[in-house]
Amino acid sequence: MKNKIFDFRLYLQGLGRLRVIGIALAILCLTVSILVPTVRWLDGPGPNYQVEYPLDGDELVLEGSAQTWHDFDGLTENGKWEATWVQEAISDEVTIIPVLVASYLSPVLMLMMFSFLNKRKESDFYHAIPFTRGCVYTSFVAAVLTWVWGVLILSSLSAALVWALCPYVTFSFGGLIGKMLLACLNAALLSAFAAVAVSLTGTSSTAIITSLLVTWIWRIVMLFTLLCLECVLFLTPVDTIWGGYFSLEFWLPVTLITGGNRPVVIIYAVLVTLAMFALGGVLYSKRRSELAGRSVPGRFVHNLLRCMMTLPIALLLIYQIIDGNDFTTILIIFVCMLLVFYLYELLTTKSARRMFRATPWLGAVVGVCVVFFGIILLSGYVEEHERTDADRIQSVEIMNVGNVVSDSVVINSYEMSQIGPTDDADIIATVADAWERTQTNPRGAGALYGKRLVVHMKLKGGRRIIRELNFPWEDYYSMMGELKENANPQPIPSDEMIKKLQISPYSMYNTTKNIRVSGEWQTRLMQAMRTDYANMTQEQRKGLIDYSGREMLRFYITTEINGKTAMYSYSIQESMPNTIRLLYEIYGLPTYGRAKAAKSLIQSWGQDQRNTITIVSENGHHQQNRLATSNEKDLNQVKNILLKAIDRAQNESQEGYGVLIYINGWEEDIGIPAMIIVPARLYASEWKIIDELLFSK
Amino acid sequence: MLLIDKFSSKPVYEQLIEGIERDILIGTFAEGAQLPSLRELSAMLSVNPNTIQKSYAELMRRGIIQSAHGSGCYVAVGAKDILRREAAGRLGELTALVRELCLAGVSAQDIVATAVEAANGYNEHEGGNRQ
Amino acid sequence: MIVANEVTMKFYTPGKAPFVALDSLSCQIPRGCIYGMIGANGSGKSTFLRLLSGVYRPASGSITIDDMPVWDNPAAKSRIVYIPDDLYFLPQSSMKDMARMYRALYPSFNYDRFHKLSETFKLDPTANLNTFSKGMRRQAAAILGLSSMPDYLFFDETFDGLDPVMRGLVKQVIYRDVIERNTTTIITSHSLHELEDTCDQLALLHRGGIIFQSDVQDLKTSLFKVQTAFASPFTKEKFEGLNILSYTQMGSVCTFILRGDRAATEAHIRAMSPLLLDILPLTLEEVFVYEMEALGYSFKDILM
Repeated sequence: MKNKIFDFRLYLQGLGRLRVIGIALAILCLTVSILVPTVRWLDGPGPNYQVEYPLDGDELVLEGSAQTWHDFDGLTENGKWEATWVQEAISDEVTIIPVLVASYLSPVLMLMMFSFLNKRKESDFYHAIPFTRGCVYTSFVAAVLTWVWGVLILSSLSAALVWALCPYVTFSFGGLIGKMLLACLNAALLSAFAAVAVSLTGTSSTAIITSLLVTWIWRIVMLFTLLCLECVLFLTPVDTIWGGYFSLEFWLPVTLITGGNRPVVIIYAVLVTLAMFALGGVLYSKRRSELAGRSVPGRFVHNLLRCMMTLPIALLLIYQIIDGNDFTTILIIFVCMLLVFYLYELLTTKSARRMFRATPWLGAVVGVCVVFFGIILLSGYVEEHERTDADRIQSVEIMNVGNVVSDSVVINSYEMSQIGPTDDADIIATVADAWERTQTNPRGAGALYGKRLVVHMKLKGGRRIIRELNFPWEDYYSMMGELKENANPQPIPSDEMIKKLQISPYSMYNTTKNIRVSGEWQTRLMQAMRTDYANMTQEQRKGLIDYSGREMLRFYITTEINGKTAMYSYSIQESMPNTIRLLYEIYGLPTYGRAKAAKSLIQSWGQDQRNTITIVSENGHHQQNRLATSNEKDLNQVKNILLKAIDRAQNESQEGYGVLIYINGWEEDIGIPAMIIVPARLYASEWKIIDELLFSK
Repeated sequence: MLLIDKFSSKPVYEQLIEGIERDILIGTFAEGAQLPSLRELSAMLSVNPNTIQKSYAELMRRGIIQSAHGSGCYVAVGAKDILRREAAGRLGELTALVRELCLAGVSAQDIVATAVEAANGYNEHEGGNRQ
Repeated sequence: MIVANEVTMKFYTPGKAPFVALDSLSCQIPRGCIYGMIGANGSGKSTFLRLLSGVYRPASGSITIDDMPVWDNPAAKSRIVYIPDDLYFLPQSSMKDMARMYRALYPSFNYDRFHKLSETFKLDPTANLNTFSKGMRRQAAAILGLSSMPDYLFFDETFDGLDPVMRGLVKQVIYRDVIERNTTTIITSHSLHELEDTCDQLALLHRGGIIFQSDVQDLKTSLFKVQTAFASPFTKEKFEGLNILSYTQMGSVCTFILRGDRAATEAHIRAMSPLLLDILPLTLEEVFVYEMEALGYSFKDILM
């Protein structure tokens, strides 16, 4: 007679056992899966538009998104818009919500399938039939997975179908399939834990408890390991130790759904699932049938479970003590721990007297926790208290510094990206020094102490370590300066490296927009920028990387180097005449609508003050703040010149570069609009006068 | 005919043996005749076949019946003789009974008269033409 | 053949010492035997049968059927049908549904017998088993078991719930199976009377051990009661040489229970010239009582 490992009839019987809850689950999930997309469908098209307005062919395109059809900077009258209504992208998460629910119900189904193990009559029956234990196990597990996966896949696909038919949304079919498979894996994983639990106990209540325990215990231990490490590690970032594989995302069953999609995490989950199912099978084969109706099979499992029950809360207790929390909290947790332990004992032994005899085990658990934490603390301490001699270090790399701004050193983020590991002795010495300081005084961090940096060190002998160190400000700046000197980086990306260039004025209304620059325009702009940069002082260069919150006009340069993309931004300063001139050319384009744009440009420099005149010309950008203090005669002369210029300007076409005059505060007085753009050639003669009157004095 | 009282103090297998012996002596089962199969007997009498098997085995041991492979059991030739010889050995039981009767005061004449009457009665009813 | 060798079965209860259900039990049951087991509740009868069916695994010792251990052995299990005292049928099933399942589990299942027996027992094979009375469910279980034509059939107190007519019918089927297929049957019961009638071997189970096992027929002849009187005064020593289990004497009459050969004993006593001599057979129950007493147990305690 063949010893089958799977029997189809048994499998069918298993399917039948779960038919009530299976169908209920299917109906629930299908309803939600179909309802949500249908409601969205009925909602109609969304309000989002993607707009493009060619300023100059393909090379200069104003692009942005609008929630409703807004007056895009007053440009809509010109009518050259290309607006595309944007389909709402449905995230896979929305589709997958019923599926998520189903996957978390999978252990419940597993427990229900094996509920016969808890009733003597049924248990004897299923153990007497002529199949091997393994055969019964695999057939029933297959039945559970069939229901769970069937529901998951069916709901996902029906949702996908409706989404696909709905004309108002886009969604990624591949992404959905991916999420669906992950949900199936998650369901299998959770049910595998339940499969292990059913073989260890004989009543439904203990099966549920054990199932939860088996699922979470390793994760809880890891959680406390990491928490404890955080208490003791000041220099070493916790999620970088042990190769980064012991980060918390590995240890949470939710990870698969919420986004821990690194291949390693998935492989790990698959392996754990298979291992757990195998363990469940082995335990099932060895399970003593007389366990039905009893809470634990034998001494070993009983002791194991009673310890595991209390372990999480004991860990919490010891951790609270280490972390130095207040006494009341600790006391409450202690009482809870006693409750948990003794209630479990009561549940299994059903006798108050015997309950107390188990107390030594409680002591053992607490002892184990103390030892456990002790070991972690010790190893953390050892890890951190290494010799910090400079001669141990072969090379260092400073990480995560965006840009550096000081009186002596200015490094923008693009330059930073070109600075890598170094074996410069001075720098290593500085690092070693900082290492020692931080080691001796780790909690003395903070702004007063200095700059906290993450440093990757490669030690002689090949070992690599990562530390967060405090550098005194002077050391920091001198080190960064030296790094920059050694690296001699390019301040601005060269043309070959640029994948995309965008100029971004600040947002207006409900739109976000920028100007996409390419081709000739890009070359000219970048060239202007480089020229201006070369002529800027250190002080002025600081402004380039100033993100102090003012609404600045910025360049966003996306580079592609060796296949990797990165984006760097530069704030356009007043001290960059060539660049500004070109910008002005752009704004001066008849297609743009000069007035508003220019105003926004100047407002972006925060110079929107009353009684201010700003003139942008070929000679640069001039500003006078105190019209009010000029004498009356001068002012009247200025006004007359301006009025004449306006007159002429209005009668001629406004193409090409002109002089931009922005006056704030004169609208009401003399009826001069705040912004005038006067063609340069019309203005040349008067320019000198105004220049003399307003700017030379 | 074989009659079994299951709840008599005499074990079934003994009753069976005695019944078969009687039937052989009476002539219901002639020498060389086939005895009922286990199956038939078991069904007829509602008796455990193992018990019947035991009876048959005992009879075989005493040489009263023999089995032919595959076709059941047969009364052995000369079975009657064996039985008669065995019966003769039981006269001792009579002696014991007579002694007891004497002790109780029954006269020897009555004893003898009863014995003769019983034997005659048998001869008339059952053994008449078999003498 | 069933061989149990020093089989021990323990049940773990947290906080207490484990309950020993079977304690180094050994026995041998040959093929074709109809083996009866009697014992009080909790003596281990059902545990033993569950061990034989492969539901339990012994804590120590071995249980084999035809030299194969039963535990996790589908080849062995497919030749065994166990009918427990606490019956389980698939939910919402009828006899027909169960028959179909049994057919899948036991290739030797015989539909003819199933239909015939259902008819004879007047049970509707299509009716939901939940609607059957307890006795009818027992009958249904017996029918299903018998129809599976197993080599080993275990009835756990099944007979106790059947009426005499049904019992007789089932017995007939069992007898036929013994003859035709050398089926081995084990029957447990509370009633000695029932077992006496049906079985050829009898075992008494007490607190997890077989304290007494014997061929049923032999049992009846193993002991007998002697009542005798003598003229001159005497004591028990007069009967030295006889295997006496229980002895009472009132005046010149004594009564004792004796194990041995009846004819030889009679001759021996007659030689002493008694005033009276009666040799009486014992009922099976009486045999049991005296055998137990000889072993140091009180039978009433055991069966209560």
